[in-house]
Amino acid sequence: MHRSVYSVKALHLNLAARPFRNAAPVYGTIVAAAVLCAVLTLYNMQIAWRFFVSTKETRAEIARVDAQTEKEQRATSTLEARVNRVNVKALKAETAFINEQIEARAFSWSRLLDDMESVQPKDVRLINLNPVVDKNGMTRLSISAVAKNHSSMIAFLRTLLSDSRFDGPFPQGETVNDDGTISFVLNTGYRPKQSELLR
Amino acid sequence: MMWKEKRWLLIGLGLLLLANVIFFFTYRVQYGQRVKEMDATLDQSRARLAAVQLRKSKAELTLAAFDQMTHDINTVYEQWWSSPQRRLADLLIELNQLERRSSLSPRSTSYQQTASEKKGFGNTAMSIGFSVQGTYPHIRQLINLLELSRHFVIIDSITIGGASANGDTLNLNLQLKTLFHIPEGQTDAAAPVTEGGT
Repeated sequence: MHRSVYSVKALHLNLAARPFRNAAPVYGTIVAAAVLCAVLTLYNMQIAWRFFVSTKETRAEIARVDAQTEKEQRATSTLEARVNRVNVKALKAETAFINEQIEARAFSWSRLLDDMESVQPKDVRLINLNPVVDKNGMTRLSISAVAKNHSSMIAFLRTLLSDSRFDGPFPQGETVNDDGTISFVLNTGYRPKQSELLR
Repeated sequence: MMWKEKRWLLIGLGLLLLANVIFFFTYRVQYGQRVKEMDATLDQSRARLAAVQLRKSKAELTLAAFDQMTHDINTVYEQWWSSPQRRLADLLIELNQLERRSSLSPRSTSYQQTASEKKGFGNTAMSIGFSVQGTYPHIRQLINLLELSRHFVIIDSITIGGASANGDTLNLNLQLKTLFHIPEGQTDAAAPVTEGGT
């Protein structure tokens, strides 16, 4: 192009029928706000969907557990009502009484006589044996016997005191008979089972 | 001018944006907390269920124990301590047989029906005083046979009386006890033996 062309000054003619208005900022703002709203709306919808759908399982589980709790509660109340109807005190007393009798039945007289034979001096003769099993399972023995003389009775007492099967033997009384023999009564605890275990 | 013309659209978009922002902070920010709360609610529900189940199993165990106790008591009453009509004659026959098997000479036997030891249980006790004569080994044999007896007999006490001149023969007094269960509706009068002796 020739140089003379660049030296010509351009003419800026305003041929518009209406005055010029710059709408770009307004539309720009509207479009930007609309896009932001659309994005946020979509995002929020996704959050809401996730919240309601993903917690649906938890809510269902809570409902299921609560229903089961209600059911178990009713069953428990029925059971507890049955338990409360039982006269526990009477049942325990009856059981204790029966156990006491069974304990007495299970008491081994043969073992007791064996044990007595092992501790009884030759010049001491047994007259009466009366064991009583107490509530703790301990057997208390009342022994009535006749000794040839006083030292025989003491010898018997010494033997009982040194024997672990007999617990705390203690004389209750003694009487000198016409023939010079001595009738006496001894009380002692008796532990046949424990001594059996120690052997 | 242009802003004024589009003001309703702009206000509408502004409100929509504000609503989205509020929703965002309500749900997005508190979302984690709400899930945690829901998990905590589930844990609480499970804990309540576990507590109720524990109470239920305790009640079941207690009831089972009571049932077992009642069953055991009934077994004792029906099999060991059954009524005099069912056991008494057999018991007396067996005691007589044991005496003979032990080679002991019977001297006397006394019976006494004592009042129920524990009122309300329907039990009655019978004491049997048993007097025999024989050697010490025979006495031991009788005691052993009584211990092995299928009947529920308790030896309450033994008394060994004076020996014979040669010292071999002893007098033995055995105090025995047995229990009877009188079922409800029956009376103690059902027991044929009240007191006596041979």
